[in-house]
Amino acid sequence: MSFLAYLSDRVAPLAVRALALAFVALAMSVYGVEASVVTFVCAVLALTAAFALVLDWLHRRGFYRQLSETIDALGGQSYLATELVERPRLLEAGLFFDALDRESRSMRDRIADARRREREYREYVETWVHEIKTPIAAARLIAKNNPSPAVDAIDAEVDAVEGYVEQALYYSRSTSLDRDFQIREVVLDDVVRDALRHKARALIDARVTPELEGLDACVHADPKWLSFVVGQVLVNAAKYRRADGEQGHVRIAATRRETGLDAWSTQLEIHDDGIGVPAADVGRVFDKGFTGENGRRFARSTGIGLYLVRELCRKMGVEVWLESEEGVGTSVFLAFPDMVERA
Amino acid sequence: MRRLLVVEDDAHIREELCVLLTRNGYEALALTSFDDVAAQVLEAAPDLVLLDLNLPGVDGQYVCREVRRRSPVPIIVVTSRDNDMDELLTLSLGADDFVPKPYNDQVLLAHVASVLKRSYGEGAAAAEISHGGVTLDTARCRVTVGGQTAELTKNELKILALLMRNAGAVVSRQRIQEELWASDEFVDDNTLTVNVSHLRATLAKVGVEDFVRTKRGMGYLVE
Repeated sequence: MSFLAYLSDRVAPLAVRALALAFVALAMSVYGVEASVVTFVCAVLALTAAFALVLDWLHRRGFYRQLSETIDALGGQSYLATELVERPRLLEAGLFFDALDRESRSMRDRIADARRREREYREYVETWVHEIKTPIAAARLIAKNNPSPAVDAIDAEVDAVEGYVEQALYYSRSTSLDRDFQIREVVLDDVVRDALRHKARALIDARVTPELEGLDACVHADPKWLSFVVGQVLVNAAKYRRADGEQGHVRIAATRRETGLDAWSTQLEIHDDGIGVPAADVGRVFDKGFTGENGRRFARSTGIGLYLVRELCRKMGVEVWLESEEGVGTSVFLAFPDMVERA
Repeated sequence: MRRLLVVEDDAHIREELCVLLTRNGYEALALTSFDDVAAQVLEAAPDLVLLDLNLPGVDGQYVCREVRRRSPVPIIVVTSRDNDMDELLTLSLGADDFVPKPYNDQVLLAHVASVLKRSYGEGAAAAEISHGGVTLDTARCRVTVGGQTAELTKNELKILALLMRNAGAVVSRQRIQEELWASDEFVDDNTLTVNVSHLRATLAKVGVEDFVRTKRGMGYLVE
């Protein structure tokens, strides 16, 4: 609140007062009061009025400045401002403060309510996922114990069901605010092999075989999350195969790259020789719900897999990007920055 | 033959687990009532316990702790909870290993074999599979027919074991590949064909022709 803005807000009363002063001065001169006395009286009145005005401005400014600074400092949670600012003693500012406080309180209640509901839903999804694992485990054991072409086909479908269930679990985990993952040192080879075992059926059915290269590198990540991320990329390699019936390959290789002055990162490349992504779609494949040309033409795409890949990577501090040439293949890169040792 | 006790409340899983373990050369027992599980486990005195933590009306963690307090029998906890905290908690209860559901059958068998080896020494998990006069020694990677013995490679052993366990049923090529992938042998179609023809040649050397039959377009079969 600048002084000018404060003044302009009080133009009408100030003008009335100036008018009254001018009238008093006029009346005094008419009754023959000496000019010096008139000047003195007017000066005293004008100066005291101005002084009172400045005092009042300073008083109000204190509250509004504190309020706006607190709001700035709170950033995205500015609805908490009235908790931190003291209620002003000025009548109008006090009324304004009360209104603001009531408004933000109802806002806070609603937010708390929404948070609680989100947490409950998330807990339900987690419980549901654990419950459904029992019938899935039973179905798979039955299938393994009774091999036949029909049962094998059902087993493959159960595999797909399990994949979607897993996606739901990670989706609910990726949207939560909690950090329910643990970043630790993991050997890429262990994680990649775990993901390959998980997605074996999809890859085998699509006739895609993996080639592993230089995976003895250690990176910092959550092993389960990373295995899921790699699994999603592998499933895509199986889904978007070329339809020529040839044996497909997916090459999984790690290299060390210097990313800046004395900054290194380990780069994991998952390269398939599938149908590739049209150039127009490459920039959007990580967007939620994006299915693209390939998703519509070749496979059932939900637009969730790569979205989750990006979200989980972001949470783990891993950079992810995709390069592709249509008809040649697709590479998904994961870059794990080295943790800087601080003395 | 090692005796394994399955403690699992889901009837389907229980039965199928027993079938799976029996086919893999173990003796499988199962609990059907869940009153005083710890006492039943101790009474059955198995060589290894497969314990599901979510039992009806019983605290699986309590069972685990009770059994461990009174007996050194190896325990593998099988559960659908799979976060790190659960894993840590389980191991702190005195369990020997932890396998999250839904497990791959090969992964579960590998855990069983490794815990048995750790607890009873090398050769403890030795399981023999016999069918049609052919005996497979899975621990030593050997096949014996009428006194004649031949060595098998790891892949050949896995393929033959899978076919013999499922004798009489056609096992698809994908199933076999999946089994090999489960132990990190990422073989493709052609390699599988080569493996199978080597296996046949080895079997022929010990005098069994036509043991592994091809069902065109479907897979392989041991009758």
